[in-house]
Amino acid sequence: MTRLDPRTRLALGLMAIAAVFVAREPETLVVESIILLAALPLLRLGKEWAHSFRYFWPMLGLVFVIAFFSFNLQVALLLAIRLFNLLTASFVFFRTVGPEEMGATLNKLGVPYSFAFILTTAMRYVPLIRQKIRNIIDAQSSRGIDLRPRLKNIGNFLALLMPLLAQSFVLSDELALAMESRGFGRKDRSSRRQYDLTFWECALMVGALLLLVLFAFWERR
Amino acid sequence: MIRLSDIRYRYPRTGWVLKGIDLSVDDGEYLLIGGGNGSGKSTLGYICNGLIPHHFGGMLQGSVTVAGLNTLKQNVSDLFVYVGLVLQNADAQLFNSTVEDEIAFGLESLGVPGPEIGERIREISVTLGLEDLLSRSPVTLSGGEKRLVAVASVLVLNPSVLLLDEPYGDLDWAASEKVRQTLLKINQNGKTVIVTEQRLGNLLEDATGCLILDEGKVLYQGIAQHVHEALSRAHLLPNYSKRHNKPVGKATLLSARDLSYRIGEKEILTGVSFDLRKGESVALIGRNGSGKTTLLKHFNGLLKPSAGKVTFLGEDIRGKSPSEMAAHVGLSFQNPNDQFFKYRVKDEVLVGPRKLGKLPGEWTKEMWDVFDLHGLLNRSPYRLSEGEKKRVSLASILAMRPQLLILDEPTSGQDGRFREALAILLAALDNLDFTLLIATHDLEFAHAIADRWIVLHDGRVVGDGSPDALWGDKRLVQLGALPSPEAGN
Amino acid sequence: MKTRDVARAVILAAIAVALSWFFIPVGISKCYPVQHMVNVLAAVMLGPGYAVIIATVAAIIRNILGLGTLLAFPGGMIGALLAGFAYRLSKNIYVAGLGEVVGTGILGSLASVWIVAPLFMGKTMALATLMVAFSVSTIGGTIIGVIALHLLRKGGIWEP
Ligand SMILES: Nc1ncnc2c1ncn2[C@@H]1O[C@H](COP(=O)(O)OP(=O)(O)OP(=O)(O)O)[C@@H](O)[C@H]1O
Ligand SMILES: Nc1ncnc2c1ncn2[C@@H]1O[C@H](COP(=O)(O)OP(=O)(O)OP(=O)(O)O)[C@@H](O)[C@H]1O
Ligand SMILES: [Mg+2]
Ligand SMILES: [Mg+2]
Repeated sequence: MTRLDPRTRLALGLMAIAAVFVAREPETLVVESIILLAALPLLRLGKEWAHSFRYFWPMLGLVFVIAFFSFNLQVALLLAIRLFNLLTASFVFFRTVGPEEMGATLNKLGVPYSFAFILTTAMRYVPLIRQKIRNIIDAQSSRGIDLRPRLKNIGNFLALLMPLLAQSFVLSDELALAMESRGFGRKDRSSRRQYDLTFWECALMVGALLLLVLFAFWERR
Repeated sequence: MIRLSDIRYRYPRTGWVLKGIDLSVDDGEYLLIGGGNGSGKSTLGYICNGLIPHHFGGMLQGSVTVAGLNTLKQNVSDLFVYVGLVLQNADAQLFNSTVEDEIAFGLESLGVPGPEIGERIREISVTLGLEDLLSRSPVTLSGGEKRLVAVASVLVLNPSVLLLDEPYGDLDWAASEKVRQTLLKINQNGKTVIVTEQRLGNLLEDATGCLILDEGKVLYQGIAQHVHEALSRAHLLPNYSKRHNKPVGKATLLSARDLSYRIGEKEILTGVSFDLRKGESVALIGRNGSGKTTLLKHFNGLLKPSAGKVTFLGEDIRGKSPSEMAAHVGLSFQNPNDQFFKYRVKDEVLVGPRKLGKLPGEWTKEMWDVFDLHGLLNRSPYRLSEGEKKRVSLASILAMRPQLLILDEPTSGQDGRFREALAILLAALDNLDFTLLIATHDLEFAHAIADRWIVLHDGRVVGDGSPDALWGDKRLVQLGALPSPEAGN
Repeated sequence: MKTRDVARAVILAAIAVALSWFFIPVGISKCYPVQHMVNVLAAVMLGPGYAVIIATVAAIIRNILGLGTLLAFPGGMIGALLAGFAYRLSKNIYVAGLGEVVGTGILGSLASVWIVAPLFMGKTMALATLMVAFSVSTIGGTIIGVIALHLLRKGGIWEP
């Protein structure tokens, strides 16, 4: 899997999500669920998947309930399964393509370098911002300002937000300095990562695309 | 190599920040630039690599030539090959996901082909001893490692001049020494090195020249050996006054008993025990990562010990929230920017007392005097200098009138004048009968403000006693918990 | 100045992700205001192009970290675009806020509903329920974004 060119993986992943998207028949949906659930342990993603889905179950539940009251049980079940498949497929997709690869690939496909840069660099700053948030919460609760998410603390949210935004402005100005001092924005950059598409990968992508089109027609017959 | 003549500069919307600087640095020199907060050190650095005026705008007068090139006529992206700048803030300097990408970034900008980049990364990581770090992400690095990687990311471009803005920032004595030796080696290999720093100390031995700035003007320029007098006249070397040991009572205010703290498998604090008596001034000393901040957070309920307990006035504080403890224990963290959210200093300081239902009274007025805040009350806290910010944040904690005042690294990033003023301020609080606990790795400062040191090392208390008894203790030096007295600080 | 805008975009996207856990309980529903707040900030400070890039990047990272779903894409991008254009045309932060509310609360939730269930179209009742669920967050986030812009200006950190 990881030996494929990231472009191939990106394309295959997107096609897999598209396949989930066009599926409508109950049998197909269930088969897809089974395939996805079987794939999770194979890719060693089971634990992380369960972790992520703790946040997603409520949404699935909401969709189910709404559909149940507007239509009937059958439609509600189908919708819920479909959404479940969609979320699981995209989860697997995003887990198997890292941000650097995604950035590099998009760049090769003609997306401007700045976009790839923002993607990978923002990813790097997430832990730092998290740490800043923790520090701010500590500093403010030491002054008696409660920042736990409660309705009565709504007014205190600014005590978290303002220090964060103020420091982020300073940080982003310094980041701009650092980028400029190392040649960000120069034309003709090179890239350390070299990827080459082999003939077989191209064939694989074309084949997958054909399958996807056939599948879409079959689902809509 | 670098020639600045009669440089004057103002940022957009500020007054003159540099007021007539002449400087010339030759190949192979090692120049130290000193000076207080806001004296213009960083600004001077930006001028040398063209960020001023190209990035900042503003008004630049005088002439700047770097390697024979006039910076006004070049882009930053052409100059960075000649002058490599390592910024003051390591978190901004390291913006890639891994150390390897970090070092590669500048080379990629230059369009160096892939295989050669790999080659150059290997070379530089051997030179600086970073081989084991290449695949790590910058968030996982220690302060000293971050500095070395920052140096590597610039040095790999092979600039003629390496310019570092306060590379010793928050580093303790051991990490500083490592960075210092690395810079010395780079200089001995023939590269020009320029370092800005607040606390010159034993760095002066390495330098071939020294420039001290004060409010945008040159205070001293010349060989490094004669600089002390000028510094001390300008109070950039703090002149601490001698402490009068004051008798402390018997009553115990706070005590830690066998306190341990674990995150996952990792034991961060192990069996910490000590008592703080009422009216004492205590310094908590320890290297980076020894667990000082983690320990302090146990004293106002921000963290709960995994084992052991903390009592305040005889009462176990487990189960008390930080907001409840705020009236008794005031904890002020290192970064004042973590707390400002009002747009007037006065409101900012009074946030705590208002939460506690204490209305502004006599104490508030007294506090404006103690912290000398009268002139700042209606200004925006975001727009203050770093020293002023620190004073405001200390005031905002003290406004709640806690019995115990805890400060985490109050001197970090602050110049000699501020440290001297802070020592006087703490002595005043000491006289008002506050109990003080101050975490720091600034040993000189710790000497000036405390009667007792508690030394933390790897999460354990390894020393507890008077500073004079601990200073130079062979066992502690051997352990690496304190520097050896000959090494200076 | 392009580098500075890119750097701001990086940090705003990181904030949108790092704070995405933050919610305010509103009755049985939860208000997740941060993405919408960032949309407003980005639209006003950097314009529609960057606002969309930031929303997209934040959505991708949330998906990679397992903190968000596919719905994060329409949920953020449309509002960012509309808010950006609204501000560019009007130079008024309230109009930008309105753009965000319309873009995310109405168009964004329409798009999300279409992803979840194409056959929902036409069933207005069900659609309206979902839209309300989205709007709590949008309106909360937009209000916070507008307040933050005011405070940043008063504190002298940012000027239009
Ligand atoms: N981007 C900026 N815009 C406007 N004014 C600035 C800017 N950066 C610095 N200044 C001002 O210029 C003066 C010199 O600042 P500079 O950062 O060069 O000092 P410094 O000697 O590096 O201080 P420190 O030791 O605190 O880093 C200060 O008064 C500061 O407020
Ligand atoms: N949330 C956390 N998760 C994992 N490790 C942590 C966490 N907080 C602290 N540590 C680790 O605990 C140790 C002690 O950290 P602490 O911040 O208390 O040290 P310190 O003495 O205050 O250092 P410094 O002088 O750099 O401020 C460090 O090794 C640090 O990496
Ligand atoms: Mg500086
Ligand atoms: Mg600390």
